Amino acid sequence: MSSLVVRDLHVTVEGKPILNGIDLTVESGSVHAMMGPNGSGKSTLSLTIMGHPKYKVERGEIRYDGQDLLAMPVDARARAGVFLAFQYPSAIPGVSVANFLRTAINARRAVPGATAGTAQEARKNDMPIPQFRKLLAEKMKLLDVDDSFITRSVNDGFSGGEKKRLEMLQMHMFRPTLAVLDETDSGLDIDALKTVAHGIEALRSPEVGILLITHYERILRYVHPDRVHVLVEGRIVRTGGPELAAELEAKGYDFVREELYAGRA
Amino acid sequence: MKKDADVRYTTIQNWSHNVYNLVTKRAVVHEGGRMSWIDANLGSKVTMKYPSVYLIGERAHGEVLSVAFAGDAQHQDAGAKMVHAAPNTTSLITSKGISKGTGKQSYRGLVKIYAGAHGSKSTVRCDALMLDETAQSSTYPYMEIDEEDVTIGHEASVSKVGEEQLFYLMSRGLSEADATAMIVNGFIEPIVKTLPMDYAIEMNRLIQLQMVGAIG
Repeated sequence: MSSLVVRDLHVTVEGKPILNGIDLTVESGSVHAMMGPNGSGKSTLSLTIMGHPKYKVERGEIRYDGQDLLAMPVDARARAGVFLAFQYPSAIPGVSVANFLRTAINARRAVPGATAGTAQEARKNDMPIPQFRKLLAEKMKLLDVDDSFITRSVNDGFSGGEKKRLEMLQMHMFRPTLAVLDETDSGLDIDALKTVAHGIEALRSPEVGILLITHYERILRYVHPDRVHVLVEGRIVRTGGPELAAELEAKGYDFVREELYAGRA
Repeated sequence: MKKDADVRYTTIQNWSHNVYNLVTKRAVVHEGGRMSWIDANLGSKVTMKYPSVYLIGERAHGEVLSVAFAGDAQHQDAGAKMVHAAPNTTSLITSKGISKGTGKQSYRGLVKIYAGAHGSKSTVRCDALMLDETAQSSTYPYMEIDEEDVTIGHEASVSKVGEEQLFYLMSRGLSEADATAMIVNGFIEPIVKTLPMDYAIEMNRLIQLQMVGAIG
């Protein structure tokens, strides 16, 4: 059983401290929701787990499945089973969704250490095209993705909702063992939100850990987390069960802040 | 080219890096003919190549699709020359230039429209993609228009491979070299898709090879 373990994590962006000592454990088979107001460090946490070069780890560690994630390059983290659904996915003009998905799947299956010089050797584990097509058709149906998606350029001219659907499709195609979703629910209408929620619920299994980062309680009506954390000013200030999300919805983030300041006084 | 002839001439060069590649390519097109040069330059130390089309018959059409990739210490100076010497002639130049490391890439083109070539149309589109801070790209689009009744268009764009794009692709498991190659292949896709299948595959492989070794 693999788990994500974050210990005493301090992160700065361009010299400015954003995360100030995060402790978090996400076991496979569980769904954790990380909630917090704007600027609390939610996206910083998700991008640091994936390894964005802009985020500098000053102290602490992130381990996944016993491996030191911070010592691994971004692509190695992905191949170790970590997936990040982006809040703002990049457009790759001229690259079709189908080509992109197949290249990414085969990159995970490539023989380690192989380079283009040993292309033949590296390619021997590639997913056969019929199998790829079958998998793609199955996942597109599951996530209610339109057929026109596969020939369009990756995220190029996509609406906000289409981008999030493509993130969900990737998540299901790549079969990660740890999925981090960075505000995948923001800016979606109710139908798109339900699709995204369905995508998350469909991924739930004993082998997969899910960290759902969100500003709003809204998505938690459709996705049921095992644990809820509240992130304020770069620290986890409250952790509880699903009832905590309901409390937040009723009272807003201010009550957590008030508790926080009262505690300091 | 005689009346109504239709010719397409495709070249992909990958010379070794001690070659000076100085080439003249010229087509003369009579009434209603259509000429297209598809020209990809990856190898050589220096390339200076400007395929030209002389449109001397009415309604003749000329096209150049140019792709240039300049790696370390290479200079790719490529472009096109369109000479409109008859009425209602049309031309289209599309250039895609990529530079990497200490490579220099330039687009150099001439659109010449003689007096009397009324109703002629020409469109030039050049895009440049730079892969890192040290790479260079320049554009020299010359236009000599001696006729009033013409339509001329010129569009240009310059972009850099962004940190966000690379991070996105690497977060999907692609190595930095494969991620960069994917972005470059996407950039030249509008041209590659016009190539015959074998050439298109060859082209994508060549781009892939340019990325290996120099990164990381």
